[in-house]
Amino acid sequence: MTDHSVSDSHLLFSLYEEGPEAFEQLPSGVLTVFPELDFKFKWNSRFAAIWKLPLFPTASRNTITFDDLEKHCSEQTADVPHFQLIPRHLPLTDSGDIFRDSVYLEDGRILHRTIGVADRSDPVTLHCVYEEYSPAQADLLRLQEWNDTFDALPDHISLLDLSGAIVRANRTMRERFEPVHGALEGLDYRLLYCGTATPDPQPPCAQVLSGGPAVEIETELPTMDGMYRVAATPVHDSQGRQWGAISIVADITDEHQLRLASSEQQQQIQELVRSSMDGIIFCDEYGTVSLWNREAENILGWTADEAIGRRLDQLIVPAAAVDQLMNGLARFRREKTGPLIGQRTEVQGRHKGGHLVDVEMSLSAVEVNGRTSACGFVHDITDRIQAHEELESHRDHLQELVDENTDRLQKTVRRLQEEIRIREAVETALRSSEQRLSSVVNNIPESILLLSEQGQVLFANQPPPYSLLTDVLGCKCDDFWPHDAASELKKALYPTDSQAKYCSISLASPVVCADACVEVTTIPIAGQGNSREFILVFRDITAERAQQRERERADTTQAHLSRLHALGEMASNIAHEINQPLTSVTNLASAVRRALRKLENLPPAIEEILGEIINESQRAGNIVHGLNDFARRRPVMRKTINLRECVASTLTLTSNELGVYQTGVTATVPDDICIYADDIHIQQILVNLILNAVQAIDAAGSRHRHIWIEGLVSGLTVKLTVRDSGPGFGETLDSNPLEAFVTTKPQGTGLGLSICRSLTEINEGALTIEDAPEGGAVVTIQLPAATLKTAP
Amino acid sequence: MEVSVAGVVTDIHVFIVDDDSGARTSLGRLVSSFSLEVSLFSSGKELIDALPENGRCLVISDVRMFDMPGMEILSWITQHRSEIPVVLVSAYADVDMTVRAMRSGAVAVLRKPYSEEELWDAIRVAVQANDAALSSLEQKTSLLDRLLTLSEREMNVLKCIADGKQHKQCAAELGWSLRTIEKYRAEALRKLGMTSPYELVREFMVAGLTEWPDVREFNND
Repeated sequence: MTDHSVSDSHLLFSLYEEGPEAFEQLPSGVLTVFPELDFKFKWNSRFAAIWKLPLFPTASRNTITFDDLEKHCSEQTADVPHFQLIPRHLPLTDSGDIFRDSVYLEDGRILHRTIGVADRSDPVTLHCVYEEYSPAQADLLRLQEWNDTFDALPDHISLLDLSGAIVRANRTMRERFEPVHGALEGLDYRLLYCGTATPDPQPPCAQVLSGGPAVEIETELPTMDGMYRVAATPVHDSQGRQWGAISIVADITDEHQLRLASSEQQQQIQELVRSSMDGIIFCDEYGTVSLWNREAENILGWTADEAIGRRLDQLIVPAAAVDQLMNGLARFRREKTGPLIGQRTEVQGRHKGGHLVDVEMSLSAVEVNGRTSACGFVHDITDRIQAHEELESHRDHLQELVDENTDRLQKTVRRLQEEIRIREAVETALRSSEQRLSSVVNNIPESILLLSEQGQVLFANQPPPYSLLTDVLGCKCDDFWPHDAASELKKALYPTDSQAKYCSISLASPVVCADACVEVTTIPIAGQGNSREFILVFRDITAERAQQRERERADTTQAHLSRLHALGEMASNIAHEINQPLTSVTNLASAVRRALRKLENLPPAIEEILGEIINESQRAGNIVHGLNDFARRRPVMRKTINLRECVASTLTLTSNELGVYQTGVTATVPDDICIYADDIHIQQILVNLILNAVQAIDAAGSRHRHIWIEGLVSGLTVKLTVRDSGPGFGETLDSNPLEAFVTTKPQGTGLGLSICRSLTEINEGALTIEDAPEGGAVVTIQLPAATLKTAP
Repeated sequence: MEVSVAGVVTDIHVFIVDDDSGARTSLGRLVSSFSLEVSLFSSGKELIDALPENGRCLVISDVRMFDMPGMEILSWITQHRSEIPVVLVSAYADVDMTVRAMRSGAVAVLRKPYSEEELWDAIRVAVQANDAALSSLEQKTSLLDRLLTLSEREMNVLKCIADGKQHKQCAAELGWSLRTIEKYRAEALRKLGMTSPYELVREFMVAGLTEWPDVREFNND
């Protein structure tokens, strides 16, 4: 094989183009691959010779695949893997690219390999040309490569002779020292590293140079900062005689510092591990213990010496859990994790003494120097477990007790709830009843006291209407009871009649408290126990009494007035009745005189006598008028009266009689009616009419007892009608009941209606009577309305 | 005392109302002695039913009667038959009542027992009042009769003039010419027997006429 053939290898391709024969006769080994045809390939006989491969049968050269090749090679007991023939990744893309390199074979030969792509042919073809270097070429090549290698290394590499002089130095060393010392060949290496050629201090090379074995030390060098690893190896010639040494000086300053730092850290960690309150155990992926700290010793009994190097299943894992451990470790080896990794669990460990220990274990996976270990932190929780179990048992016991009692309590609660509901309902009812009672008691006008048997006030309703009875709660009855009525109280509280023990006693005469007139009713009731209590009801009858007195006085006045008027009326009526015949006498006498005048020879005495008759009659008439005037002498006091008020006060005056005869009254008088009249007269008229009606109704025995009083305005007159449910005037109307002494009543004087009429006339009114179509008497009074007379 | 009656008052009918028969008949005899026609009634209702149409009468009534008091009779008559004079007699008559009765239209109020002269004076006053009333009534009737002969247009012209308007205003108001107005005016006055509208106004006042009669349905032009 020549340089020519190597350099011109591409020419081979063209030769190969000539045809299969040329291919076979090429001086270089050629492998042709067809990547597009499933990497089929062929090679020539020279290729087979270089690679020491068997020859393919000629027929199959064009169609063999790598699979076929491997199969073929194994049959031929050749063990060249096919990938050595062609590099895995060829940097060839385009046609014409050429890749060159060297292939170092195990037997020391070196091949020059040229690979190119030829796409001129179809399919695309990969040509690999192999040429063998001669041994001399190979040695040169190797030496060159060694030199290159040494030069590329960052360490100082030098070849020394036995005297210590440098034979050769690599580029790193040259670049370091040549600027200072010039060419290094021949210089004593100690000058470079120790600054002096004296034997002291001796670097490690010295031992080697003096026949010692290879050595490697780490040391500081006087001429250079930092830490260095110095290695020396003796070099022998072919006869085995040492002729020198190789020195390698590497800068390990960074590594050293790192190591220093890490050793400090390691010490800290070791101390930490040693003194940890948790047991700390490291084991490898097969369960072999590599670390076992003091607390682990304490917990599990095994000393570190005993434990380290043994497997967990031999130490602390209980027999029952060994399978689990093995499965876990197997998975840990596969997946670098396991069921317990990253967990904190409570497990049982086997103590050296054989008994089981409850521990809490947290496992984690630790990667140290590329090896995965498991790290376990173990904590003795025997006490905790015991306490927990104790608690559990207590809890169970309590739970039983609770369950037992809960049922009973629930029943009780249900019963109580029901009871509460019933009581609430009762209470609500009671409260509303009490409120109602209290409202009743507090809102009645009577003052009610509850007295004890000793006369102490136990209850007083609110607010008591009498100042005398305020704040009497708790007082004794004697404190506020008038002294002069003490005997009345005693009589009321302690009746002599034993039969009256629980009956109500109403005092005959009212007890007078201050200015008030009070009627007291005492009701004895049964108090608590056998005691008696009294309810005292104070009723203010002041107003009632005043009214009664007023009524009595009014009645008296009325009676007096009535009598006066009756007297006057009688006189007036007598005057009228006498005047009528007197008028007749006068008229008749005048008529006679006129008739006689027509006669002749009338004796003058007759006319005189007639004149006397007339004069005397007129005198009598004047006397009667005087009497009449005397009877009506009370001055008439007319004024504007509200008719409604007038009627109302009249009804008050007659309330006694109306009550006695149980006669109802309906008064319909508009509020705005005013009359101009003497109110005493009008009242007297109304009283007379009402009493007449009442008596007439009673005398007739009418079942329906009612009187209707109605007032209405008609122009300038006011009409006031009084109608009753009695029998009416009937036939009496014919006998003119308005005249004096005409009456429908057996006991009547016959003056009532007559008086009414004259009183009406005094007030410029008129009085008429009739029977109502529906029955009953109707008396109508017409009076001037107030506006007529109030205008001056 | 001599009382001259004949020739002065002869043709008046006296209606006497009193529920007291003695008073009623004695008064009747006395009035009869004056040679006057007399009718007696015991109640106001009977009286009102018997009042004659011609109105040549007077009423003497007692005040105090139970079915219809004298004052009521008085007020009924002044409202419905104002030409009939009323004299009231009463045993109670005092100043107050007298004033009230006179205000309500009574001719006189006599207190029982009254003298013959008092009665006669009252009757005389009543006759005079009746005369005046009847005469006024007659004039009114006469005027109304004449007015009813007018046509509606003549009436309208007279109304306009009586309101005090000038002929021009009347023409403008009625929408006729001045000539037409004057023609109707002359014709109307001729029919009424008057010489000027002032005469018409005076007659209106004397007759106490307050409204123009409605002639539309009688006299259309």
